[in-house]
Amino acid sequence: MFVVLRRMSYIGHGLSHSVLGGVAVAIALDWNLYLGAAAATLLSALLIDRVTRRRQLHVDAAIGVVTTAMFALGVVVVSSGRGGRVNTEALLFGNILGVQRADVAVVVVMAGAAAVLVFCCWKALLFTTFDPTVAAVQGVRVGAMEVLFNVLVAAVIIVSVRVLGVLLIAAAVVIPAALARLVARSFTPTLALAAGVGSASAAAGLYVSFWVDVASGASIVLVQAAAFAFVAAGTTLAARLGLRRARRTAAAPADPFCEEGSGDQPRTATESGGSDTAPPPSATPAVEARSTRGGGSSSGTS
Amino acid sequence: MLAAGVSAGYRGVPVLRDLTFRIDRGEFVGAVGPSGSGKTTLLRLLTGQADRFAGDLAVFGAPVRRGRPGPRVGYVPQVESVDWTFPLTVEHAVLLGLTADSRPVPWFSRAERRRARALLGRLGLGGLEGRPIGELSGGQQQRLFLARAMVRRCDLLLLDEPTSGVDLKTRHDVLHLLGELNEAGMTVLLTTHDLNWVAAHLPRVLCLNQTVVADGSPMAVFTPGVLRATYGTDVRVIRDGDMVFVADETHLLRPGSGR
Ligand SMILES: Nc1ncnc2c1ncn2[C@@H]1O[C@H](COP(=O)(O)OP(=O)(O)OP(=O)(O)O)[C@@H](O)[C@H]1O
Ligand SMILES: [Mg+2]
Repeated sequence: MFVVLRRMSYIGHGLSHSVLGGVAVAIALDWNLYLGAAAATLLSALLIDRVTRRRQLHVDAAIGVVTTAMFALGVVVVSSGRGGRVNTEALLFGNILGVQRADVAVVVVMAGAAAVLVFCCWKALLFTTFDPTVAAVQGVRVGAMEVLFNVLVAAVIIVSVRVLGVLLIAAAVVIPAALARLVARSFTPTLALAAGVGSASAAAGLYVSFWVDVASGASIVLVQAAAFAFVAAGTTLAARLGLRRARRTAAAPADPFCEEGSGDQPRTATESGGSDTAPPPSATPAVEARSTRGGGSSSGTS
Repeated sequence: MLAAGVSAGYRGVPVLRDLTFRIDRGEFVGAVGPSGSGKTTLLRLLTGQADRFAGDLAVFGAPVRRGRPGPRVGYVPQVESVDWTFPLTVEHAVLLGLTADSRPVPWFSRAERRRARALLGRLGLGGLEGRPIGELSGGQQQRLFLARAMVRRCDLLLLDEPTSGVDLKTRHDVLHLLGELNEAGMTVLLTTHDLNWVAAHLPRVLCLNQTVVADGSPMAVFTPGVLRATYGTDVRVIRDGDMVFVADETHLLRPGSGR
């Protein structure tokens, strides 16, 4: 959620790429895979934070530089043969069947820790995301919140890379939050919705992947994308209907306005030569017609 | 607040030079000066957002260091480049100002919310509490940030042009609120371009142009000489009893503009 609000949607995509670097190096050095992945992701996240804060660079550039470098490192190690035992395909596209009991334990512990941290730092995280300058001046420990944010993102990546794979993780991080933003207007509902959509679509995607026998990560992402498309179309339609209804209610009891309008009219009428077809009445249908035509065409495309 | 021979700016380039002044606890000071004279930089300096190259600077006895805001400060920056589509309600945005003093749970207490709502009412934003922040007008957005700064029970309020783009009544409301907070012991330092507003209401004014050109009561400071030194242009100063008005030449050609 915070990721989307900070316009860092691609951090998930980027960080998951550095996982490859971490895992490859970990295998080459005979370390624990999780340790390698965690170290690489965390390192990348903090580097991105540093680069963005110190230089006049936007986050997207920083993400591009740091994480592709880590990814390249991974590719070099894999191609040199020393990371031979890496199951590249599972890493890239995810594989739920590769998940073991120990992985689940790791996920549960990390999720618990993340939940506690987010609970305690909620307001500070929110203030830092919304307006870091004023947050810092008004006593929020912005630096600590940035680090916490990055650690949390890294944790999410490490946990979900097993299922979703390097290439698909961005969707899991971004789609639920983006969808929620389309619908909800204030923060808590947005967040609740994002969490709900995330879990529900993960479950639905896994179900589909089990019955149709296709890759788990890709199914989850497709389910999410479908939900997003559905909601996007729905909100567009609802907004249009709302606009039309508002226009109709404004047109029906609008007699006082019309009278007011005609009270103003003489001036324009006399200035324009006193023609009988006064501008306001003819202008309104034109607007109506244009908007309905526009509505028809774009709902056709969407 | 104590500045002695301070030189400050950004990335090695000084904007303020040899700045020396002293503001005591509970004072209400307005800083004026031409565009680019360093008013915003002064406030940034006090909040640890600008670099100090020389001199000593202390706020409430503690030295100010970059990136490390010391005391309890409420702050309204001049240019707010926040994301207005951010899913926050007006009330929630104000409440965020309390973050540093609030309990570490995701919600705000009933007392905090009552305080925020009362403040919004005083600033003419009553009834808009539940609106998304993106649906406010420009002036309302500015008042929202004023509320976010004032909601904090702080010792020092730093406001960068709080009265620009604000209508007459709101300007009075803001002044009254600031006056009350100041009465209660809060130190206020604000910047403005409105010399007559300063002259009419504030006890002390700081004329800035790279450095402190003059410092004192508006009555004493607003003289043609000082204003020329500050702004680099000729200004008329009209005195009437214990009041002083500043006007530029064209205004004087209009009858009845002496108000
Ligand atoms: N971030 C920055 N980096 C470098 N120079 C800056 C920066 N911000 C401001 N300056 C320079 O510092 C000088 C003073 O700027 P400042 O914003 O303090 O002026 P000001 O008195 O607030 O003006 P205004 O009345 O227009 O708000 C200007 O010459 C400006 O170009
Ligand atoms: Mg300024």
